[in-house]
Amino acid sequence: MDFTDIQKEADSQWQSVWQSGKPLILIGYATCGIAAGATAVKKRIDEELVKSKIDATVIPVGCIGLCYLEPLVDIVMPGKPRICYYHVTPDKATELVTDYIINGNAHPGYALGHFGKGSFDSIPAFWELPMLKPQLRIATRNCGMIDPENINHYIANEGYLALKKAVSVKPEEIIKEMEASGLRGRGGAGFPTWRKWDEAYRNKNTPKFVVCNADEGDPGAFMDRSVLEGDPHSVLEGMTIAGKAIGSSHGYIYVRAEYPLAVRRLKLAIEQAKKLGLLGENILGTEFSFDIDIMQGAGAFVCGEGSALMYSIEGKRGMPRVRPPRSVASGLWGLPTSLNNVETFANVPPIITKGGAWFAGYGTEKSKGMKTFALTGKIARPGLIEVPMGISLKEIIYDIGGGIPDEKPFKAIQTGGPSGGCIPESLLDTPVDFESLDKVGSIMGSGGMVVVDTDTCMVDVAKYFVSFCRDESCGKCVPCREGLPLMIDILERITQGQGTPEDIDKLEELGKTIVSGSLCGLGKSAPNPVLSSIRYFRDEWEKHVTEKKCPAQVCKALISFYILPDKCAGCGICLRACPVEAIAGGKRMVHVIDQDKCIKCGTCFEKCPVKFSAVARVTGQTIEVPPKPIPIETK
Amino acid sequence: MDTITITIDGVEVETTKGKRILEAALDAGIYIPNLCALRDISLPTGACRICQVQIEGKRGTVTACSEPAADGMVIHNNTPELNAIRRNILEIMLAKHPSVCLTCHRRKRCVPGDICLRLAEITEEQCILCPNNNRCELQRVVDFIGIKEVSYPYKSKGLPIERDNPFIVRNNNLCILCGRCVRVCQEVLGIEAIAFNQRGIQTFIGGAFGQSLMDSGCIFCGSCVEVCPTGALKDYGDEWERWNDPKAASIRCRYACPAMVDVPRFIRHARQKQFEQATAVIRESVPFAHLCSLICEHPCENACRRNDLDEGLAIRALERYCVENTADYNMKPETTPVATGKKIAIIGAGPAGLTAAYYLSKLKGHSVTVFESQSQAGGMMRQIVPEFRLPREILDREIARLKETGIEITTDRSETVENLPGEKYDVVLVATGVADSTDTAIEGANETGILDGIEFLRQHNSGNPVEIGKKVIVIGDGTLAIYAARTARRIGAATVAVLTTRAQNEMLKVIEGVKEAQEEGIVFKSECTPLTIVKSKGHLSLTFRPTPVTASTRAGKPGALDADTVIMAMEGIHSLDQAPGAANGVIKTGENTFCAGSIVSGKVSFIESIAAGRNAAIQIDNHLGGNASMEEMLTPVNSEIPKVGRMSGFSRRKRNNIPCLETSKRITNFKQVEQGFDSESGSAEANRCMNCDLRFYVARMTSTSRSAEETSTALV
Repeated sequence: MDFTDIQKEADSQWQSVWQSGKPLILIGYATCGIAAGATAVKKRIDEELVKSKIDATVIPVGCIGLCYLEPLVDIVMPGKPRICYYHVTPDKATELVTDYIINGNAHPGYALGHFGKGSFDSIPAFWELPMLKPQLRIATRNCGMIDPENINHYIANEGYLALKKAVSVKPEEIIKEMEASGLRGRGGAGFPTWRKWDEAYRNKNTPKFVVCNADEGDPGAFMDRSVLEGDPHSVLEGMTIAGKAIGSSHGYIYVRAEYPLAVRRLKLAIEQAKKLGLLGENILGTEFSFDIDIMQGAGAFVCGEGSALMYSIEGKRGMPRVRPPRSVASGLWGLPTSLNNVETFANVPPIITKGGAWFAGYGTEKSKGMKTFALTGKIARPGLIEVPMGISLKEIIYDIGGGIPDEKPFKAIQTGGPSGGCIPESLLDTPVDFESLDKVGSIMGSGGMVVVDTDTCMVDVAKYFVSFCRDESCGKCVPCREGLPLMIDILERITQGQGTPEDIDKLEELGKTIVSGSLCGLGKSAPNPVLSSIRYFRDEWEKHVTEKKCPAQVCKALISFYILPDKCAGCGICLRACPVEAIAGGKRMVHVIDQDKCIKCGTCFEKCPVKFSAVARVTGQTIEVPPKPIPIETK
Repeated sequence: MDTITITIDGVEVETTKGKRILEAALDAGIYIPNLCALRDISLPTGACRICQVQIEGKRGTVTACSEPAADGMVIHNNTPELNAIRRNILEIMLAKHPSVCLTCHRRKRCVPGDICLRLAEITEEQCILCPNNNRCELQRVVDFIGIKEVSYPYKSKGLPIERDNPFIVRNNNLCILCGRCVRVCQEVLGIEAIAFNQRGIQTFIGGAFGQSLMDSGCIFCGSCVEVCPTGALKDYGDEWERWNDPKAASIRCRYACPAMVDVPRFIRHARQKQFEQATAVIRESVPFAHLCSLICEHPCENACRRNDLDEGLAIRALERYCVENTADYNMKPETTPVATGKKIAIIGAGPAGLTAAYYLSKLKGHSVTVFESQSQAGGMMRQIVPEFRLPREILDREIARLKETGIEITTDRSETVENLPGEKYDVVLVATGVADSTDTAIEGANETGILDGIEFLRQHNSGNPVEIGKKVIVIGDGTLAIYAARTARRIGAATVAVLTTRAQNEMLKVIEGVKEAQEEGIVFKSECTPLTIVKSKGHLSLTFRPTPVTASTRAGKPGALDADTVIMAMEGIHSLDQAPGAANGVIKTGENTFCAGSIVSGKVSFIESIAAGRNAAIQIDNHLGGNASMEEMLTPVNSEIPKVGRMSGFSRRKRNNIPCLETSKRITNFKQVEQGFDSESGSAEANRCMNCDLRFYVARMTSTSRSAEETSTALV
């Protein structure tokens, strides 16, 4: 089939959805939506439509990034703009069907925004919302906008246009366009994509391979998953273009098995693309052939590292290897291989269609274009964002993320996954690009951002991230395998209140040894949370070891709970709630916590009615309380 | 090859482009501390991170094992910064490895095998019990870097010591996870029996997927032990024997063979169905490969390490499998040696005489004449070995091959040293074989009706009928007794009993043909000592008493057996092995006279006679001023490390015994009993070989192997 015919067919299908004169309902049906209850919502909508005998089109779409507002349901009535509703429950869905679709009441109270310009029924414009205004979507351009399981929707939105262009030009021209775009690897290292392709292209060995790294394992990162679930074809198209550029006819997607929906949609997408001749033998009637296989990872974090990933594909144990040779020279099965990240591939089609210069117009001098981030932690609006490089951390946290919930003070932001660094408030003006983040002791990583507030202990956070890397270490090189547990030993000591000032120095020394001595990126960056935390929050660390205090009141060994005699009303709620029966008391008696029995779970602190607030949580100090319950009258 | 020059600590080193720094340095005799590196491997592992060096103009440090050398590179191997980095990494490593053996103040005075009672608690950490103490690479690295104490408290991994197989003990508490053993097993040898298990701090090495080595396809070649830098892997049972002669301890088959046949090498050829090469390997040590494959007493099989696992390999049967699949071979030298003009007379055309003739003539160019008293050459192979073991046409063919090389064999000539015909000989070798086998210590040994075993077989094999009656007793412990008994059975004896001082299972294990003899109805009176033979009324009566096994067991009651004929088939009665000047089966008996073979040993042993003949050739050539080297290279030794490949279920592979003719079809005739392996059983048996010599090929891959120094030229 000719590409124009394919396009024509796709356009007509797309038009039939939007211009059918029937109501159109789009449901956010990525993992985040499903987790928030989209399945029940969809079921209710289907039922209501049947009950009311309404002929409407219902399309599940990908994640639009506002994960905290899921389930999201968009309704397009014929001739009206598309309205996005948030936090839709099955009951709300019933209301929307009966009130809006049947009776025309748009329920502005439930609505988030409408698509298109101006305001509509006092519903604000979607893209003008504060969290969306600073964003521009390139890699995630189709997420939430199209049906990811329908190739025609993708094609109708400029899909495979770039491939059409790429198959008719020389590889050099593709690489030149990529060079003009300045796109750097979105997996974390930031290596210029064009240079990788160029080296692979120049390598004379054949066959060559294109590998897509979709082994997104950072805790709290879900950018790649959103793209794979919301727009799988953009990744396939990007890979196929890469195949043309380097002269490869085979690609692999290494995706974690924990992403079953992404795997399913990828498989479907590959099937659809093959059917239309956009993948497989003689793509679009040219000499160029390219096939893609999916390999599922078995859950090892380290398999996100390039060489370990390739060993894993080969069926070997996923352990990183030394370089040189780099994988563009000797990768999969010792053959030239270009390994790029999901987001990198998703950026390729627009670059080819619109030109490298267009892409380079965004971002900073050295870091061009857009970058997606997964914003999580103590933040008002967690979710997926795509922003231009160079945007400040402050803008991300406050303008897009809406700041810290409950008006708690901001403490730090941890970027780049478990091996990133913690950046304090004083550095929030740092622009987000590869170089600047590196300078402040953190990394871009794949784009995870975890915000912590003052309720978080920096020692505890550092311990958490180091223990993650310790557990995920492949066990090959000495510094990472043996060094990280030693760090944990010391961190454990500090949080147990047994630390000494020398321990902090020892941690720094050990951390530096691990950074300089480790074989791969995992070990080289694993001590970052500790090192950056000591660098910016040394005061807090020292309080732990000298005063045995945890300022955030998190480290259990360093905190204690007391019932204040002058506030206790003797209600007995805490006594009943205590899981270890550490509280003694009685009716109209001042309750007392047995410090030896107390496991510091904080239940009494939580349960004590606010009007009394009689339970005090303190660190590094003792409060004088009666040794035994005393009658309240005597106080 | 581009030659480049690099500088390491001010020393200019020439090396080839692309070679990694570590290898270039080691080649030049410069030590860069390393623990995980293997030489001649395509991709270094880079796991230990100890070999870090600094390169001028490069930021930070690089690992020498992975960085390719470039022309003009200036490398620093000994700077305070490097030492600090290395020490830090080493300390991290030693947090999980016992370090008393590394940092003990007494170390300098500690020698291998030392006994130390000063620090009782160190035994828990294995310092003196570690078989690698003082030969440990970790100790060498610590010495180089210099660590007095470790700042992290030592925490044992608390892993069990794995002793699930008879050969290799793995103590993962001493393992530093350098991965050498895994790489050798997987990448170099392709056996893939061991692997990394778990990950992170829980990582440990063991059978792939947590299996025991018995199930994981391990062939127990010991290559992993060879490359282990610490004491984590050790040989079990013979770890101390290895100190003196690691090869003899490992390649037991070859070292048990008097002729030193390179057994593992020929079996590897057999595995690949390279029968010509396999036969050539045998012929490098035994000129008469086909005869060897039929009648050798195979001490190799008895020594085979696989006996510790289940049953030793059927090595002789494998020899036959190779030889019979070899189209043909001749014994002619590829290049004729320069004639020396020396004349040698050899009296006796048995295995010893013919072997000596072969080497002296073919390799050394001496002019050799063999004198044989009988009408045909062959010696004991013709006169003693029964036809059902050695069909005479095979013997004739081998002797014909030998004659083709130009050796003159004069038959029907009973010569003595003083009485040699014709010209004067420079050397005379007497190899006339063993005279008789009658033990005159037994009372009544000279009665009529008592036959000498050798004489009996000689008469029979010459075609002279021998009258033996229906009841026959054979006295003897070895091959000769079995030959006599089985021959007696075939020529009409209804009952044959073999009286032996050995235990039943020892006989079965050590002596060829016992099982077959039992199948043929021959009875064994084991652990019995003959006392007297009395003749009355035409019958012989033999009295004996059971041999006490230990001092605490009382001797049993004496017994008696009746017989028509008693055949005396003792061996070693006339042994001259202990005579002054006897060495390796050879005695120099006069200025120009040597004796070799059965005449010296007093035993009927094919392979010992072959070895004696060869040793005689060495001594004679030496005597005549030659270089005394009898080394032959008939097929090249592979310099590459043999890639063995995966051997699933290795430890469960049962021995393939050589198939035999049915009993009823063989006890009335002299047809060849053994039928030889077919291709299936042959290759199945070849695949049971443990490749005990592999570790010496692999040894050269480490910079400091346990036996690296002596294995630089592999196994030639």
